[in-house]
Amino acid sequence: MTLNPFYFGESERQLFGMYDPARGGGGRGAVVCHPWGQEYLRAHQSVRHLARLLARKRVHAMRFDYYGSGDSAGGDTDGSVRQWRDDVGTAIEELRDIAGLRSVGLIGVRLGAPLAVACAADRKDVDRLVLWDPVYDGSAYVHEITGNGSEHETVEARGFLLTAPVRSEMRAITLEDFRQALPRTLIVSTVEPDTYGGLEQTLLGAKVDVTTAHCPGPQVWEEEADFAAAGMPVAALEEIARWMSE
Amino acid sequence: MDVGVRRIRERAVAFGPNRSMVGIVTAPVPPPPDQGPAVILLNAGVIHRVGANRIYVRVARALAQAGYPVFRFDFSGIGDSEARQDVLDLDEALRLDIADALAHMESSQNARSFVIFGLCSGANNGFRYAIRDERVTAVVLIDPVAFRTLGHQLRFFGRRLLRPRVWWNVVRGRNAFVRDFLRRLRGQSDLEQEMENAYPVGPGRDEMRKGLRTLIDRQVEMLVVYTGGLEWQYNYREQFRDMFPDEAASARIRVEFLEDSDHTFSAEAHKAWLVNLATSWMASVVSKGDGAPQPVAVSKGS
Repeated sequence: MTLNPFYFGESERQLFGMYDPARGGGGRGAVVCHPWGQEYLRAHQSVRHLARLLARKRVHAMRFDYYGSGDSAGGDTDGSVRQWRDDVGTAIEELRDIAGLRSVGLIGVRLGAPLAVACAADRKDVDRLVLWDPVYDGSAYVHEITGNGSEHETVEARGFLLTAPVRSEMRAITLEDFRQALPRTLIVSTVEPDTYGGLEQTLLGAKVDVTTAHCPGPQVWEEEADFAAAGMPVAALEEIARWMSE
Repeated sequence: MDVGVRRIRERAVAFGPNRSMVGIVTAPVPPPPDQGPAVILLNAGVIHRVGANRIYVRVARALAQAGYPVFRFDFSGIGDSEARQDVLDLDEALRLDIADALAHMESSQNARSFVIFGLCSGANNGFRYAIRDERVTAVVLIDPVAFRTLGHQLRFFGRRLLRPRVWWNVVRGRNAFVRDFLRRLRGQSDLEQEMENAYPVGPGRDEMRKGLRTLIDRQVEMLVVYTGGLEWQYNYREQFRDMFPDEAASARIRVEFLEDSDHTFSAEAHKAWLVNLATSWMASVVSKGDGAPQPVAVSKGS
């Protein structure tokens, strides 16, 4: 399989991307929006595997790192939620350009989900949306990753730095952010079956064509703290690839 | 040194005979006329090339700003790199992958000598590679394999003897040490030792001693860092000297012990400490130009 690592975007704020072309060509595409921080590291292998599965199912797949994360430019404290939303848009345009697509799907994992929702609501070129174990309660999420209520300017969050402005942006994420005119949506849950019941109701209330798939399996963002590896959530990956390729 | 003022550029590449591996070249722009050796960062376990808590990105950018081209890449089957299609034992596969990384930096950056940098398994793999490739002129080994000494055991068990919870577990038969002791009394095998024999985590003590001797004889500069995250293997500053008394006396080896840090440098202060140590140590031991290291100043951590 051909490997296509590359940088894209503005030269001073370049983003790292990996492109997996659809096997045998295809008319669909998907941009994967990573989780943040330690969750990004732990989910990396699963997200990579998802991209391969999508390509095998004739879906052009692109993964990328947000500004200030992974291989992208910027230090750990340089990014912002607003910037990362813009990065999703930049990645959409890049994939459309590379693969010659009119529209693409978005797959948001954990914090990537609200970013994908915000982007999908603003654009006309997003045709599908997957929300994989989405973060929809920003306050709970910040508490989870920082472990305390410290209000210092910058706090440590499981090996990464979180500035006060970014914490504020994250805390501002609520279920209401998902009440948008969105394209056809799949919620994928690897946790308890009813975890995303409220989210599904919110989307239904906004007249979104939404389905929830419960795919029990490892929570890719939670396991093996010392080794940044988690088990592969095979059922979730296969369900996402199947749904995206339909 | 021009730390912090030089422009750097990052480039993503697919490399190797089949372009089956992925790496990021971080290099000063333009290359300095007195360019030193290229630095190669090796995966720590299965963490992809950004490193634990993104520490490899920090290290690569700092060293590039100091004037060194740096390559961090994924071994075959890790991160974004494809698994190898041949059938080789792991050591040989790793050796070939590292050799391919060096070849890429030779052709793309005109590198002639190399510094190998690795954390955990990256340190062990880098150490083994350095022994076999004379182009390697310096190594940075962070939490490589360690060997328990009497001093280690006294501290390890001594600290635990002072904890009431340990005694409570002894009484309840739940203490790991007691359980292991009872298992041996019953003639059952030492499970931990069996695991270590079946899945060795790095060089054995003799292999490491001989390797250190080889590198010392070749005048390879060595920075060895241990963290408190390896407390069950390494728990005092002078332990390296007690493990390898003859070799540790060499001026080529500098040992540091960051007791407060965990194994993955989770804390920002520890990340900054490692980045500063790596850049200052490189400046102290590497003379630019031909890329060959010349000892300028050596300080012993023990």
